[in-house]
Amino acid sequence: MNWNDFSGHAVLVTGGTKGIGLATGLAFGRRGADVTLTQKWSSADTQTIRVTFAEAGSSEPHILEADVSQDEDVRTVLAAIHERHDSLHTFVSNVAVAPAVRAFDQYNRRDFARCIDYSAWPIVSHVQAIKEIFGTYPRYVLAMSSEGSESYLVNYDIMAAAKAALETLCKYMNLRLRDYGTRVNVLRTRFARTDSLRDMFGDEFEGFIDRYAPEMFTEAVEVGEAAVGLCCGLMDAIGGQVITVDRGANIFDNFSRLYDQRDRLSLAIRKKP
Amino acid sequence: MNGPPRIYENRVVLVTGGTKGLGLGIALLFAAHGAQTVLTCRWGSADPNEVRKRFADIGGLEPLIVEADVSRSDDTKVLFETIKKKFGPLYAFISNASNAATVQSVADLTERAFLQSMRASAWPTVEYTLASKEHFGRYPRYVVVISSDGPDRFTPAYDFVASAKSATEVLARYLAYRLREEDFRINVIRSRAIKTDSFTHTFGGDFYDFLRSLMSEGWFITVEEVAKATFGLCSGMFDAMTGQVVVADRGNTFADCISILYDNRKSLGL
Repeated sequence: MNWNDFSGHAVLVTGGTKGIGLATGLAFGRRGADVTLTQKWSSADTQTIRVTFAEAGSSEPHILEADVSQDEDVRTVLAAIHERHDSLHTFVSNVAVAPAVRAFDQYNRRDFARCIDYSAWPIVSHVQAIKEIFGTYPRYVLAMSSEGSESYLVNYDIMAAAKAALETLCKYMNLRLRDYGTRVNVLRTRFARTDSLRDMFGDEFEGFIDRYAPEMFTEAVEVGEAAVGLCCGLMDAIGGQVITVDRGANIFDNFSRLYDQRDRLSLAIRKKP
Repeated sequence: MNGPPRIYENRVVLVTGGTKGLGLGIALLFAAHGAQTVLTCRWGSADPNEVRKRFADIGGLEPLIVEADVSRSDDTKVLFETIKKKFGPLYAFISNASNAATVQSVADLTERAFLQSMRASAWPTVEYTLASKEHFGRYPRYVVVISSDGPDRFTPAYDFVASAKSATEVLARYLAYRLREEDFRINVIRSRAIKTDSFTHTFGGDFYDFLRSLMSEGWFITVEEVAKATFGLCSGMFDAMTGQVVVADRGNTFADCISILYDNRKSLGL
């Protein structure tokens, strides 16, 4: 059993041209997979992506414009893959779109519904369309998520709600699809240095973390490797699970750690005025 | 089809309770990837020739089998001295052996049995991790602890086992924090309903038959499945993961409830 070889297998990563999506596509590509990356509003330079894949010894990725919330776009992407493959080995649902929320009065129903359309529902719509077009479900379905539904993240309200919905759908989908041999799991990370992080948390956040919690950043490539790990055949006992890959940040992102490291971080105890 | 990538060549892997059941399955998979394995067992609990044959059959290196009780620090010392002399530092440590008292009734809830269970089931993960640093000057790159879902949900006779598993999981999180700047990661695999000697020993044969009357044979988790997941955590692909508890049950626990029986009530005649 060579779990490290994806030759002949088709892999689809939505939002795959930047950040964690790109790192995930590359991790599969390096192992011989035929990778399709979709993007919508991304300003990613596709030529650079092709060069990156080539340098990693991967075949050229297929980069397609597609809106994950539009059924027609989804079908077009899948039909293109179907021309080359009888089945889709792995589907990674990575796209998520939500407004940064700065106060309660910014909550609105339209944003919430749109966020669900872009960040939670695509895992369902894609897997249903995959069945329709290929006649079979993918072997592995993986949702990219974050820790925002369990602990506060800056501006993350609407996104966190969608991630909670996404994770719950994955648990039920795993149960519904496991008799077809499909594994559905969720991969969570906390902070990675990506455009998405900057868009959601603001431009100053990264510097703040560097100052007070430098060990809390996870590299996008580390998340990509874990994604492959969950879809390589070794982890088939894992189904319907939420796997956290964040260098342990979920355990120690708290005041206790700041207190523990206060000297190193030069966190003087402030006197109340 | 290619064989397994030999990513564990020249690497030493310790599996406690490695001569039987899940421990043996895990050790065999590491050996199939080139590892030199060290298996511990309690005195007289395994036939070493039979175990060695299993490794020879898959073309793996002959394992070193050491009789060592995980609850005896003297045994730990001898074990690590032996590993150091023969092979050198541990690359991965699989904390699998667990020896907690079973509880059949309230009368079995004694302080003595509780403390012994914690010593023999929760402490060894910490003791062996520290012994690694003491004897080799470094921590293992990977520690995987074998646990179960007992801490969260009722399991027959499991009072002390679950307590010890719970303590181990907490200690694993704290070790992850304390050693976060080392080349070290520790994670926990929770498995359940694997049909091994230890399943029969803990629950008695009846529990298997009972479950089998409700669920298909395929519902049970196999040794091979959990072994692969354990190896996966030590494969290099999960290097940014530490302090986590992973459930290796294909989603069984999520649907271990009356609702799934309701779904299947007609076929089960319920």
